[in-house]
Amino acid sequence: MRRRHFIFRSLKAAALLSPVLSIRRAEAAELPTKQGFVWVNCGGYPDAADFFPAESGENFTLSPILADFESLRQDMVIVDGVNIRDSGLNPKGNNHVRTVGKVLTAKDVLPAADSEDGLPGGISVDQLIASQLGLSSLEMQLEYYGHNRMRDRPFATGPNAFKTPFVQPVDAWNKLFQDFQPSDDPAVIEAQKRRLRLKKSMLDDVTSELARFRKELSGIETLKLDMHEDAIRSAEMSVSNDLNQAGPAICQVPPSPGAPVSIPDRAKALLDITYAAFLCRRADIIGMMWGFSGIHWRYEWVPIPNVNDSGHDEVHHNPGGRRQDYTNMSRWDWNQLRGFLERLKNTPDGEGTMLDNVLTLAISHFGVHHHMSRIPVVLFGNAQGQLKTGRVVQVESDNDKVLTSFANLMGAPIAGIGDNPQCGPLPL
Amino acid sequence: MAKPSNTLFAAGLLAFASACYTGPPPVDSLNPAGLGESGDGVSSAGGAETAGDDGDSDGGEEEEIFSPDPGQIRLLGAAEFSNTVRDLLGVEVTTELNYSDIASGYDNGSNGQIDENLLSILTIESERVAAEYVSSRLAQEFPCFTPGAEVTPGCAETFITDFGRRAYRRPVSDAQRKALVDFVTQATPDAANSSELMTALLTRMLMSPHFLYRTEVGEVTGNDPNVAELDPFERASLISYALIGSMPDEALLAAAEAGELDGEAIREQVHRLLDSPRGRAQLARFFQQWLRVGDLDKMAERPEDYPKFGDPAMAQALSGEFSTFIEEVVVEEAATWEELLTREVTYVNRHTAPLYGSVSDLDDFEPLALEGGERSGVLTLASVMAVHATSAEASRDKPIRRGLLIKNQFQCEEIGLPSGIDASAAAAEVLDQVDDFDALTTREQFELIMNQDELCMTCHVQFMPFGYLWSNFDGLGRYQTHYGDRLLNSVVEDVPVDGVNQSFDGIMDLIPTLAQSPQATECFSTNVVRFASGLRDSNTAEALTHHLATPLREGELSVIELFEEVLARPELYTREAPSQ
Repeated sequence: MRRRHFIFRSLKAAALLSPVLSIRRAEAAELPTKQGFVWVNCGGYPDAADFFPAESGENFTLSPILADFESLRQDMVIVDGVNIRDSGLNPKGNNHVRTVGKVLTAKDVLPAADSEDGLPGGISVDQLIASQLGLSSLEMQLEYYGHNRMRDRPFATGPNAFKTPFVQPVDAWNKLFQDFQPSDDPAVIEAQKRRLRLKKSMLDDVTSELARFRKELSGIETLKLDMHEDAIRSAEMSVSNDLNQAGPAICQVPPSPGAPVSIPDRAKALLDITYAAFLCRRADIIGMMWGFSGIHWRYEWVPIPNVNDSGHDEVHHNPGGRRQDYTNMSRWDWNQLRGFLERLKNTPDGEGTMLDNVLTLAISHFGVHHHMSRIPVVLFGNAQGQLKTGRVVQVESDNDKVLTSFANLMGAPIAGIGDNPQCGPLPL
Repeated sequence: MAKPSNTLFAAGLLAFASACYTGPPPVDSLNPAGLGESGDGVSSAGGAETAGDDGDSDGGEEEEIFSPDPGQIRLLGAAEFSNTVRDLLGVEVTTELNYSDIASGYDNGSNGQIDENLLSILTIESERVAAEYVSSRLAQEFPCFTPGAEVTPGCAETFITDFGRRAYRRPVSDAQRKALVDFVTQATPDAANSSELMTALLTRMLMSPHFLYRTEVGEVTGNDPNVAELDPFERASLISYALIGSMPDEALLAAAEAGELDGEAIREQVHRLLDSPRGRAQLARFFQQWLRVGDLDKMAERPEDYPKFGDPAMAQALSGEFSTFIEEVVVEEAATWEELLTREVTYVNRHTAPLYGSVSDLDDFEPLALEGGERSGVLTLASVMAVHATSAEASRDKPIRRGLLIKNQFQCEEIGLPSGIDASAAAAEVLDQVDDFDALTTREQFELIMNQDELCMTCHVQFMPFGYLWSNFDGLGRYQTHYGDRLLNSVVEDVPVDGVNQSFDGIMDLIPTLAQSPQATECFSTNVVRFASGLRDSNTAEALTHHLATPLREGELSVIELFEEVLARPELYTREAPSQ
């Protein structure tokens, strides 16, 4: 991480957290490192008009699901006409599995031992960007379906290799902030450095042992061992960074989130962590799975009337009969994202706001109902001036081009992703 | 699929299963060709390829080719990690872990992987339990350690040797001991005190791959270079995690150290563990997962999401009903497969008795005879039906979930989930056709909707009829003849069982068929092997199912004896040798 940028944020963070301080704009001689947020939700609307504006270009009317996004109208690009790439394979099906597996990888899912499940076919765009640019990543999930099923996990570091998101907010917080306790007290700083050195010794030692373990296994289970080694390497890197950064209080660590239970409380906790992670530069690219594919929430907090059992079964599976209810459910989901984005927009950063430096890709894995066509895609933030916002763009494209565009805007110079590695970006 | 080994390795298996199991009871079909007694040079045991067709090996003419599954390392599942930490340290894991691999159908699947996020969770929790252990128990269990005083090299070595033996589930090698002693030396300058140093050492050991994974790799011990046998410590761990969900206890570890985990000794250990309270609890865990009843506990914890129970104590009590049934019928009575499905008893307390039209004043469970011919066995327990139902509507049944239960867990056939089907048009058409959709029975509603769309029917016809058989049982498992004023219909026709289309009048008509069904007993045997091996599809499962399903169906093996047989079979401890 670039320490100077970190200090920018921290000054503003201090200002935000302390009502007696005014927000100060730091002078920006250079742009902060870009950060990225990938927000994946189910999508699935009864009618395209519920999500997409009728018009393209700059003069558009917000759709019912995005009706509350007026404050962000000039900060968004709605991309209409994107399909989940369909190679024609995997004919048997379960789109809950297939689309989650493809939405960020643009790669067919691989068969799993359980025929109702699947494994990732390739690396997801968030992990690809993190890998190419040497960025730290974080993955979270609002609720899980089962124990680590495909429909829970759009994030992957490669074929067969899930990056399993944190489900408990406290686990995500622990990863980001447990070893990050900035202080002005030299004794506290030294104690923190000592603990970090101890942790680093442990990780180094486990790395050595893992190498010996690998030899003992004579070539079996290399994927598991590769993943384990990568995990330790990332943890070591994180500890090393923390060792270099241990010092004065340049960013106030948010309180631990505890154990929220309800979906609205959990959503708030995860989005608070996301904001703090970006603000304090504890993660550069964050992926969030908004529940799992086929969430059964009853949305009683909206409220949605007459959902006895499952919003998915009773409303999503009955879009014709309950179109307005579905819109209201979906609108609540998107409005949680809106609240987070408005917070970014209200936080000065460099010459602009955090929204200028945090590029957000909001993407659904379903279009109408359970289909893979015309999925909702919205980019938020101008990527430090690289993306012209405030418009609706009509395209005819697979999701691979969207992912490529997102990676390119983030600074990762990829030519494509997934099954078509030369697909190129969208003409944005 | 592993490549077949062409080598005849009966001799190797004979050596492995030195005493060969003899018991209980002596069923011919339990002694397959070449396994333990033939001595006629016949064959590797049969997985996918079987020369014979009935499992009878007399005459030595029927060769079975058994292709051992590849070696594997198995990450401790979430429950296994928690149980092991508790047994090892006497400290409870408090963080909520949900990382288990369930591809096998059970939460001890063998494909668990550690990524950066899981590593973070496990490291942080390991640091916490290590600190708690060091502050509360270390000095008691290792008197050489004195809080505040320097950790001597001898004390560190003693701890590494003794604790490591249990944590790694085998003696610590000299190289491992030296590496850990070196770690202590290296970490000492950065540790604030001796407690912090020992906490770091303990955390380090809990992060070791030798703790986090159990290996099932084996070594070549016979003439066939392609076949490896698990070593005694690997066997001990396989037995222990299958039967108690945790690390080997002292008796099992000592047996492994003494080289006494062969043949009859394995059976003795298996029998001992199955008969222990923890073995019984693990057995209940298997059944909860097999029939997917474990969700009742989650339902009890989230009453707002499952309003049909009214009182969350009912969901808890239903979970208790199921556990008690398994304990009494499967364990105490040693029920056969047929008895599991037909035993006319359940166990009720004051919360659940009304579901059976009965009354109880007790919080504890008491037996209730199931009379009247409406129910029998595990499939008509209110607990089983309540979990396979909606979360809110107590008065309605749920044929989708109940039908899939039979298809998936009694026939081992899987149905893919819906793909791109727009149910809205079908639903809209139905609403136009009937005046009062809500007044219809659940079956009538589903049949109307699905008849609108051929694509729906294509899949649903495969399993919905099984669900309709339970039409007389509502969302809490209560027997009913009508929904409102409409007669409930549980008759189905042309349902495939054992490859033959048959007709049934209600679940009570299906149960005797399942009790004699080769497909159902094979599926159940497969599930037991999945639970033990962590693999959904394996040559081991094919081989063991081939040998054990028939005696299970014929009552020569009780259900609990099936577990014993699976754990006693040499195939379970044989692997394809790793390439060098």
